[in-house]
Amino acid sequence: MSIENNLEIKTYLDEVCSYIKCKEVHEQIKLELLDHFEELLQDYLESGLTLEESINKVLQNMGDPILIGKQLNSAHKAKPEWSIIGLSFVFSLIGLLALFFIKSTEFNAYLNSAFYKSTIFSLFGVAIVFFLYFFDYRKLKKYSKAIYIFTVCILIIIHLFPHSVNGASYLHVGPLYMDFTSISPILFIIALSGIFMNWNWNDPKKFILALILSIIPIILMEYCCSTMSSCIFIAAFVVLMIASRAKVYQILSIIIGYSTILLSYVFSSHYRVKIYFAFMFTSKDPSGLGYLYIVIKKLIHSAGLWGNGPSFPTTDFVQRNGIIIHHPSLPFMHTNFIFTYIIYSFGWIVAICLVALISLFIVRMFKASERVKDDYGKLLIKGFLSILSFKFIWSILMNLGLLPIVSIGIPFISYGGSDFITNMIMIGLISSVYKLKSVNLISEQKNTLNVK
Amino acid sequence: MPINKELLKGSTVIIILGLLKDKTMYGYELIKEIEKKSSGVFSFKEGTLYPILHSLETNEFVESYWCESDTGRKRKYYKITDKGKAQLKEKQEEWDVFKNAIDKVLLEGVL
Repeated sequence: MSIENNLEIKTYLDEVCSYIKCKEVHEQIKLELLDHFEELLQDYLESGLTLEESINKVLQNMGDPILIGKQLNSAHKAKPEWSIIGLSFVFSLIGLLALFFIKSTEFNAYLNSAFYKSTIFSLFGVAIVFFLYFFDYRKLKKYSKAIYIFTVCILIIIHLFPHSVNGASYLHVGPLYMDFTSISPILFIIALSGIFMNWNWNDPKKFILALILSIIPIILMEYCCSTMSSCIFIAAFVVLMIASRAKVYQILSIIIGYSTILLSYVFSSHYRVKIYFAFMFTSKDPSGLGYLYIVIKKLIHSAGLWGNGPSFPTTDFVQRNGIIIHHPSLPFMHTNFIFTYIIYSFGWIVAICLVALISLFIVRMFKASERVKDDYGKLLIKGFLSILSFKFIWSILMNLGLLPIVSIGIPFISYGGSDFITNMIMIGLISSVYKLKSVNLISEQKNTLNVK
Repeated sequence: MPINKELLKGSTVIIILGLLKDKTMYGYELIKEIEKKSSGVFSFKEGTLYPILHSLETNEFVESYWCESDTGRKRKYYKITDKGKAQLKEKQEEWDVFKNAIDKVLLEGVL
């Protein structure tokens, strides 16, 4: 007996929902209450009452719609994940602070402007998070394939018309220079989260398709000379596979397959082996490949608990004409080595606190991903989490001289416009997902259980 | 004998969690169980059950899932979580202490 079109019931349900601010739960609340109405109606009809009388009794039994509406509203109050948003802002502030101190040692005109640029980027980033919080992330899902194809096309364009800055291929659009290649893993993850939703891993054709979807970005990223981006991409890809319930053998074959390719790429050239493993054998080439690692070790060993104060570590070089010039001991202190700078200037206590905050950040993101019911949202958060964790862990260990130096910065803290903005976009989307976490998307549910 | 609303208000969570401990149920089923098990003493205004269930879910004491019945109708079931079981245990202990205290006071009073 379907009563959804009964006018009194409809009015009742509409009134209840009018008090519930979270519009996304209206559909499921109406469905749940309607189910209850129909059961009750059945009882009354069986006891001999007419339809008219039964409906009246049912509405009476339910109770005051205003009261129920208001109570449901307080049960569904959207609470943002303050710790994630807050911590990302804290990290950005720390980055700004470090940049401020670097700038104030007046070493490099470029670094002066970096501080002001960073401030503007930070404000822009806050605006992005704010805007994305109110955005319904689910709207992105239908553009998943389009986003994938778009990213592939842009990577091809970069490869065909390279615009090299510091060895990386940048995308040049009007006044904007973007390191699009390092942004591309994030776009691919957004696309693949939508594609892998409800992906049937049992079907071998789907596995082959997934392989193809993983190979294309890697080939393109390699052509754009960014091995790091392809490593980040594969790590996130594997996480998405696990989260979308791929088979163990499929996951293992991807991991083993790509590790083999990566290792054979590294070991195929003696020079490349020397570069990448220089961090382990610094004494072999102390003035060449091992130089930076030695400098890092020296700087962090001289830091002590509270650091050397906000200063700029310099090394003196005596020129041939006898003039002594000061050289920054470490290049790229505001980008790749900002954590080393923080240890050197502010000491180990501060550094350890920072690492603790970063760990908290990662844990909170993981917990948030578990609380989200929507598969698409879950995949998005887990994908972003893996990208951010990879970058955090590698950059911190690199700043301690424990991993090869590559062009990667600490998320939020290092200076870098396009990376910072994309990180803020991820945070914004994560807050949007978390806000709608309890909205059980009925049409997407896989009804596998048969309870009765 | 109709129970004072104030007494009932404080106990709805423990009643619901107590019933969900043994069995996963949907809203209507839960109401009928409460009436049956309490022999009619507790008779809810049915609508008030849902805000409580939704709050319990927001607090992660229960979790819900939708199930399609053979008639094609979609129904929302509620299941207690580990956090919910811990909360139930805590509330039960609280209830025992409360109950014993009142009984003692009344007994003392009579003597």
